[in-house]
Amino acid sequence: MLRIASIPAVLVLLVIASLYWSGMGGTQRADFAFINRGDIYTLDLNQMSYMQDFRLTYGIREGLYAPDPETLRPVPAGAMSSETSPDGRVWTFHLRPQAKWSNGDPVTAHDYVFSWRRFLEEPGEYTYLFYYIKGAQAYENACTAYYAEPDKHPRPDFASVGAQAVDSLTLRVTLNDPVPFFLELLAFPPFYPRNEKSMEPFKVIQNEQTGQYAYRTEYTRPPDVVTNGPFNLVRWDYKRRLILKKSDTYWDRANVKSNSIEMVVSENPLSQFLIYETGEVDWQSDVPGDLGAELRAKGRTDLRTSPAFGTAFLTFLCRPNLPDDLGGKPNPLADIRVRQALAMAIDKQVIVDTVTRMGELPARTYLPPDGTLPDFRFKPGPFDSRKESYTDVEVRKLLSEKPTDAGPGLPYNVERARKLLAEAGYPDGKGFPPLPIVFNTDSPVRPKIVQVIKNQWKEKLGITIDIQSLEGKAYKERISKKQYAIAPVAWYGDYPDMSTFTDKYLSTSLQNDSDWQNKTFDELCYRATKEADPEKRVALLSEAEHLIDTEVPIVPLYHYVNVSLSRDNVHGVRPNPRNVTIFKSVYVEK
Amino acid sequence: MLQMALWRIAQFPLILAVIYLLTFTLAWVAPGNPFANEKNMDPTVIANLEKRFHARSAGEFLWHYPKNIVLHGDFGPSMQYREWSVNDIIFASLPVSVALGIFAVAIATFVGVGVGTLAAVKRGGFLDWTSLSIALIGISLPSFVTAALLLMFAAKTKIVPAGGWGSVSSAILPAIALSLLPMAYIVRLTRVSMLDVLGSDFVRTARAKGLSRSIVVWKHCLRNAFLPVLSYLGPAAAFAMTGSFVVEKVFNIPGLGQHFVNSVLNRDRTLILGVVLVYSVFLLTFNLLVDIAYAWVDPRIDVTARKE
Amino acid sequence: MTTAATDTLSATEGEILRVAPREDLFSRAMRSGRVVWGGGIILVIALASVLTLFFTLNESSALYYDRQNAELARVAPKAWPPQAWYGYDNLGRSIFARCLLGGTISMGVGTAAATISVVLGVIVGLIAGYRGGWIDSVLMRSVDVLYGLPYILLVILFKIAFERPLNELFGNAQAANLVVLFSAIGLVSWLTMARVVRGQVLSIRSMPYIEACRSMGLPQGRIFTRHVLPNLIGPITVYATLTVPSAILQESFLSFLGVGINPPLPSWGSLAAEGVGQLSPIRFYWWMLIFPCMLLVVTLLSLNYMGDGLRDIFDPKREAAKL
Repeated sequence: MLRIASIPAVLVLLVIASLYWSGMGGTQRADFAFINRGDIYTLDLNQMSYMQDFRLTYGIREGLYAPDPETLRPVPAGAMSSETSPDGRVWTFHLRPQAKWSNGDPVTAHDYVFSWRRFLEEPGEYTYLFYYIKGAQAYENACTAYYAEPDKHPRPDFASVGAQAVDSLTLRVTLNDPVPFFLELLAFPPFYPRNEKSMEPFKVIQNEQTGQYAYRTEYTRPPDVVTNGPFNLVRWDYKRRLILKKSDTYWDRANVKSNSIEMVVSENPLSQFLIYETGEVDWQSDVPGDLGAELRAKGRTDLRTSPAFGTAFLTFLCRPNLPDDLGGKPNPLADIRVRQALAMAIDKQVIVDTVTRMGELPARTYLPPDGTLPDFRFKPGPFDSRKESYTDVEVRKLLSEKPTDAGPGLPYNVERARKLLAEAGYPDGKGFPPLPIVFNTDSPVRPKIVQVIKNQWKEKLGITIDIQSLEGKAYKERISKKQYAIAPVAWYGDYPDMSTFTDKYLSTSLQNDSDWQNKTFDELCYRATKEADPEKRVALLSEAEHLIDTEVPIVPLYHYVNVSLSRDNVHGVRPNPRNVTIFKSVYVEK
Repeated sequence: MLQMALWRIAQFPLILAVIYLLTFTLAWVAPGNPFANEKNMDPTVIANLEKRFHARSAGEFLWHYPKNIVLHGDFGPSMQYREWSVNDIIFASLPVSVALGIFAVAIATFVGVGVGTLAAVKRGGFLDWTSLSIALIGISLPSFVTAALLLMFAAKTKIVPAGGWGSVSSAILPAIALSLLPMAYIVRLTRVSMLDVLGSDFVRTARAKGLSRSIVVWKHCLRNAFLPVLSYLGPAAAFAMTGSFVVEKVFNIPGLGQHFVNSVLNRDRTLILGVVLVYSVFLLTFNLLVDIAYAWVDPRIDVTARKE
Repeated sequence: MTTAATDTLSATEGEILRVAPREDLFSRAMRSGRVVWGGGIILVIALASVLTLFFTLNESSALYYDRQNAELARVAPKAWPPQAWYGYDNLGRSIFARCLLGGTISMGVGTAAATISVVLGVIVGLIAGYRGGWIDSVLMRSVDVLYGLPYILLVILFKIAFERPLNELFGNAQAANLVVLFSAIGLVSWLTMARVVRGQVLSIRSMPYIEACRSMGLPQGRIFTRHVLPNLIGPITVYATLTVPSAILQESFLSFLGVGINPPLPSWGSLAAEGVGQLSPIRFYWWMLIFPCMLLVVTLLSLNYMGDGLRDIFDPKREAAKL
């Protein structure tokens, strides 16, 4: 009997012991706590890609310029001032002598050059932004060739790149062409500096002969991480929380409003909301659509929304033939009339009203008219009799009323759609092959969107499409390898310039999922890069964007809305189209 | 018994090696690139990453990583969460899962044995049917439904924290959610074996001799009836301890179970292998412990005899 | 996990069964309350699901499973018309219609998966039990190793690997998806059946009367068909009946993860997953969750009861204990 009884006793003791071993016992509440859509993916500048990684980086690092907390326009940060040469190609930056790293080292021009050089020697996702700098792309290619075959290629020389540290406080950058939004780029994390000395223990020499080296990503973790921003990363508990503390070495620490910031991690949307509701965090930065819609219906005043600098759209594969594993047959989507028919048969209002429900605007253009680019003009669509281009305010007004023929891009018009489909050789949808539409299952809205679209096309055009669900990585692989026919995707602008959207559809762009090849488009974009007059540049890019809207290699579905929750006593957090929050000026009034 | 235990432990490396190779093969052939990001990536970038992670070919992977595992116990870096090594991740999440798992198994055992015994003693009656039904609901509803409903209960009533892993009270509901499945099996197992024992001769003799019902049940029958439950505890504990994905996801618990599924979905090959090996070690160890406990509790059983 | 659990159930029941004459079995089955009630409920639900296929798959019917209507999105249940009985989902589709079709699919996938696991398990168990020796050891150690692999990994990988080739083979994405799904679930569930069958074969073979048959000169084939096989039918039936609910739950888990059935096809599991997705402290669209869950609970409980009842019938010793 005793033997039996001992088993439960052992169990109980084990329970209590293990509960304490597993790290129970909380930490003190930070001045400001928030919760993101998910965990941090990486804090290594080279590999950064997701919104939450950038958000945190804005808090711990700073570049030559940084977004102003109120206006979000680039203001001098690591640099005190800058000069531009008359032709706009040579920029000289005077660094701030008081700028220090968290370990006390001064921030020098060498730190910027080192970080940028890393982007070229170990390419990452945003390396393409550096191509604006003279010699950068050539240097990157030379490095790749040299590392692969050192005997056949000369050793690349970084002196050929137009980014040089004149002295420890002066940085000179030479561009290929004038870039009017260069300061915006400098305020974007890929252009931030890094402290080479602190990363040294993590250096890994990959090839003795060529000297190719990399850094183990652990350099971004406390206690070894060295940063130059308003906050220091002092603690990172995997999948639980990150803790930032106000930096004692930051040059503008007088204006940093909070002493400590905590990022709580949860990957379950419902759980994220509960964490906010119970007061454990002050700000929930990304609220999922369904929950947001219910909160809106309840009239919650702590729900904050703003139109976003991003669009959700369907991408069509525009190649002449379908991918091999879909039969390799001729691709009906290669015909522009088919694409236009499909585009005009989608009633986007239904999607916005029943699926996403956050007051998004049904989209007719690729670029969102959210106000980030007030100077942009949208050309009238092919069925619009108006001659002048539309401003973004006019487009917003148009989209929020019922979609009519007038306006940029293609309207919702089933009659025209059916006619075009018949012209293309598929009257009433007869003979149209059942194409697959793939979507990723980790998205809460895309499953519903594709089901709505499938139904609408069936009802209105008589065509059938097959829905295929794929999980995240498999889906990404299919899209990037162009082994799909139709898929829902999205694009957010990285910096406030038109090129962040148009660059995607250049024939040579890696991000051109449709493989849409249009010489006119390429030429317009190329001319825009060379154009010094900002008005003429906007006109060229407006023309280019118009091509996307009319030839529909992609069908815009709706423009995103940023939804967040924050109580009234939280200051400095304001929903904005690019979802940028500068923690420097965030504080909670007690 | 010691000899048996040592012989079993000696077999571990071989079994683990086979499991490692099988898992590696499956993870390698699955389409999907672990390094894929939100946007399409330059082939050069991917090639560089593959080089850094020694993942350019199956041969390179198998040459580099098993060596480190055997020599240093180092599973390498995670392919998805590049700041963290697999060891970091496992050491951070394993204690949580272990705690939660033990808690869940404890609840399942206590409640399950109690309910099962009552059901057997009052067989055919109302208590038998209802208790069985309640237990069976645990295996008739998908676990994500029960977990979500419990979470809602916590959110509405605010008696215990709704999710997270901070205080002892935050572990109660997840443990209950995790215990439902093993509890259902334990109830049935206890009931069945209790019925067996109650019908046996020595019970009838004891009752005829005038021993009270409770003493007969709790003192004599329970020990015999408990044996099948004991042998079930092995796999149950291993399962519960390496975490249940659903409970961890719904209650936002930073345990190991989420990595089971997420690492597969992310094609994070180093993490998959690390997690699978941990799971296998637990499973093998627990099965061994259960066999030992089995013999200890009932000296009549000769565990060294080949189980046929 | 469930495979490990039911395996130890079998460990307690490695007893020898006696063959009862067939007529007696059936009438005894009919007398067992659990079999009758459990089986009856299953039959009713299955018939309802299958007979209404004519409506739920018919695009012009009001009960069409994918009839979307923006006006009816998330509307609560009403007493009339029939499609409103369970309310409407996010896209304005009748949940009643989707539950009916979902029943066919869930039970179909469950049964198909159970069939695969039975067939595989019996084959492997028979070979291991009959041949013995090193074949037996290899097979059983392999089963041990497979127990060690997390089944979710196997299912996901199987699904990913085979869905596209099957899609090309069938030309129909929905069919390929269903086939892959039940094959994957069946392929990870056969382990318990193999162990049970093997155990049974071993205990039967060592019985004295089988020895007697052999020494009398009866051919192996006859021994197998007339003595061994009838004794296997009992445990196989019981475990098959108990594998179906486990398969249905596994399918619902896969749907929750997003690697289950392809929309817009419904299954009770995917409907429950959608219902859970709607759960929030702000507003609870209860009909989206309660009805699919109710159907799941009733069906699975009935299957479990039926299995329990069958097990009691096939094992007379247990019957005696109850009396």
